[in-house]
Amino acid sequence: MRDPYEAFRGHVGKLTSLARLDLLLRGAVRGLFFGLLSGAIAAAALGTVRLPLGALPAAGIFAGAGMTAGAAASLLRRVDARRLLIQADRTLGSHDLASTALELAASPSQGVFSRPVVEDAARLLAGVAPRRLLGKLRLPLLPFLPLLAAAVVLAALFPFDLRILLASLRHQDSGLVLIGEDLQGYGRRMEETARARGLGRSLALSQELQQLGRELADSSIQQDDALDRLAQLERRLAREFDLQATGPTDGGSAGSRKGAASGEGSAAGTGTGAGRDIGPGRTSSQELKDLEDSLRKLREAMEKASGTDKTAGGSEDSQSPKATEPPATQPPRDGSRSPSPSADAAGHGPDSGAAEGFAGEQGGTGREGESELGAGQGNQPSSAAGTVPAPEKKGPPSEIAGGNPEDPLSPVPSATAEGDAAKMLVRSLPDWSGSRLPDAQVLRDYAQQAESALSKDEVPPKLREFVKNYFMNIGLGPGEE
Amino acid sequence: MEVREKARQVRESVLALKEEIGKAIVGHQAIVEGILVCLFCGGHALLEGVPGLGKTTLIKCLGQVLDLVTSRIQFTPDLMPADIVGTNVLIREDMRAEAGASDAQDRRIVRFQKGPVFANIVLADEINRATPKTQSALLEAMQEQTVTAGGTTYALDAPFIVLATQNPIEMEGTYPLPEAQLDRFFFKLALDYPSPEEISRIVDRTTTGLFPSLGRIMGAGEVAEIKALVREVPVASHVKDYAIRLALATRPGTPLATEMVGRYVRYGASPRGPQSIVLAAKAKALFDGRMNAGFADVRDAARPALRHRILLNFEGEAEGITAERIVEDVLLKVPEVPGEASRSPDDARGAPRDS
Repeated sequence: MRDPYEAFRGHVGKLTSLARLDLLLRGAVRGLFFGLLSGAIAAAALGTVRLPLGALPAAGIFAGAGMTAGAAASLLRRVDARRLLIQADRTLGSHDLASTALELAASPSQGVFSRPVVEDAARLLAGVAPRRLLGKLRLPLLPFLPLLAAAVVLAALFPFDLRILLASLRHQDSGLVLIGEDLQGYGRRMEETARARGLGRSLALSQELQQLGRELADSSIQQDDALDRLAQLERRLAREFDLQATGPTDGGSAGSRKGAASGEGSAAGTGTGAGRDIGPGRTSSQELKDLEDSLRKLREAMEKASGTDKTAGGSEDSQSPKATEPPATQPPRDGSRSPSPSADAAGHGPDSGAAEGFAGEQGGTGREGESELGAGQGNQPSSAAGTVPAPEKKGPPSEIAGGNPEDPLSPVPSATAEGDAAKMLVRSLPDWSGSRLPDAQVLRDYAQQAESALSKDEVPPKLREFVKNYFMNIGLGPGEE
Repeated sequence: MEVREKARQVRESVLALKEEIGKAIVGHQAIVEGILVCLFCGGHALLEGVPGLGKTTLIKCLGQVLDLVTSRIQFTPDLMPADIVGTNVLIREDMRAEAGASDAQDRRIVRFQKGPVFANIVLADEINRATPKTQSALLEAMQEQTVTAGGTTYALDAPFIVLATQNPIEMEGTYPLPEAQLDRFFFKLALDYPSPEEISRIVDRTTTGLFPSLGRIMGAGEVAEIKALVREVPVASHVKDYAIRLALATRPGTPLATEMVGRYVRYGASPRGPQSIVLAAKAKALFDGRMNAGFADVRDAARPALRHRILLNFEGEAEGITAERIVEDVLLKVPEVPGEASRSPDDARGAPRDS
């Protein structure tokens, strides 16, 4: 006959094993529930929070990780055999026979009743299925799992950006908030690159990007202002980083617009691009191009979100006044070439080639030229070629030239003729002082480069004189040291 | 004899006792069982009930079926301790017959005259009518089962059980039992009025001359064996812990004390409380034919074991709170296993759980 103590321990072992399994299942289901919940949220947020995986794989990973964690956590929990047997006694109405026997089995020499009690308990447990003693396995979160799985699929199919909800809760324009946050993200990436490569002006630009992003995210800036600042940043970025783009560009960009009257900007930029001394070895052109494209997309999205039709350098609707006006509220900050409104307009004018060259040289003299990018070198393709769309139709010079004489900071119309170009130069002293280099140093460099640029044949003689006057006016002539 | 067989015999014996007593006593099954628990646990019972409920008859019947010596002491205000325990008396003996002497010679000796406490079953009727001094005369007998008189200690015969009664009404001229004496009672059993059917049977038995004669079921030897067996019944540690927590919960100021206890109780159960509960739970389990005590046994034992060990404060008495209500509240609030939810009122009344 089998030892009653051994038999009893065997039954208790079965019971605890089953309880352990139940615990494991409950933990796994609980973990799966929360994993799927996290996965659904992640899948929903994939529209903006770009995970390295797709929505469904990401949700699957979340679910798997949750299930594993839940099961692992349940394994850490102790299965209390005494509590199990107390529950079993209650189920069977056995007056705590099994739980008492558990203690008696642990130390068999406890009194005269020890053996019969253990025998009775072993017989009791043998006659009952462990499942009945433990009760039906209840997985309380199980019914929700199909719903959650469906939510994951729906979230993958129709991603919903949670920031929209947050923005609506804060009574903000969710579209602008999203754009602002994305802008901050781009700014941060750019800042990292600039810091890594020691690019001071790029660093400043990145910080401006982030600042604009923050203002957008906080809804502390008007949409029109935001559009203008974004356009400025876009142009400056294009000037800052000459991507050597060879593809087709918008009309307002730099390029040799041989057919000046048509104003259709070609990509083959022959204009004297200021600010290109960033060598291929210092910056990845593709990376910068990507960033530039992202900015453009952002701006377009913001325009769409704001419901306006503002563009930085031009509009598809050339009949609108804005199509012929430079978008920036600030005067050109540098004399760089193509992206500036003046250059845009210059591209449309009959003397676009001169205007471009002039603009480029002007950039060499502007404060933007203080950057580490250095003075421009002529005949370089424009990096901003694709950033500022040109108007499809070109207006007469009288329509293009202008600007608000009451407002010294109003956009300066582009140069469609030599006279207009002169106006632009006088009134377009840059106000941005993001460079870290002292003025005296960069001005001297700029003057030298401007002098070098002026010596090129394609620069009209009148404009050479004009540039010379400019440097004279600011106290540093091309020949001065 | 195998222990399992012993346990079965105990159950049959107890059933036989109840049945035999039931021939004379109508109803009061719980009281009879309580008295038997006290008897087999070596404790004493305090019976509280209005006059005419058959307390004295019950105790006489118990003596008959157990074939034990019974005595009855009617407690009155002028009762003296010596009237209970006995006293030394001076006896003059005539020595002529013994010595065969022709001269008449008397010898005077002091002899202890045993009081009524020298019996197996002592009925202390209306114990609260005697003075505390007299009441306390029972203390030594109840606790140590000895009597000391004139510097000599006399052992009482086993089994020894004091069954005291007290009348909850007519409190004028009574002396409530001191706490020390109350604590020495294993159970306090409350007799209630019989039901109409029971009264009808009582009337029939007492007015027709058909009062049954009771037979002997067991003697002192069997009682001693059962007493020893009761103490062998195992109690799991969690069951024992439950009994202890129940007793602790009656003490105000302890973490386990219920809100009602904190408000209305001045003193809670002493360590004799859980002792009584666990021992009674063992006896109840054995009476039921089981060889282990469980939570239900503890709950059943807790009511009579705790109710006289709870001393209400002024606020409790002023608001008419009874010790029984305190015990019920404790049973309701204290979970069987720490961390579990409290019991429902139905559970607290003793209904088995999940069954």
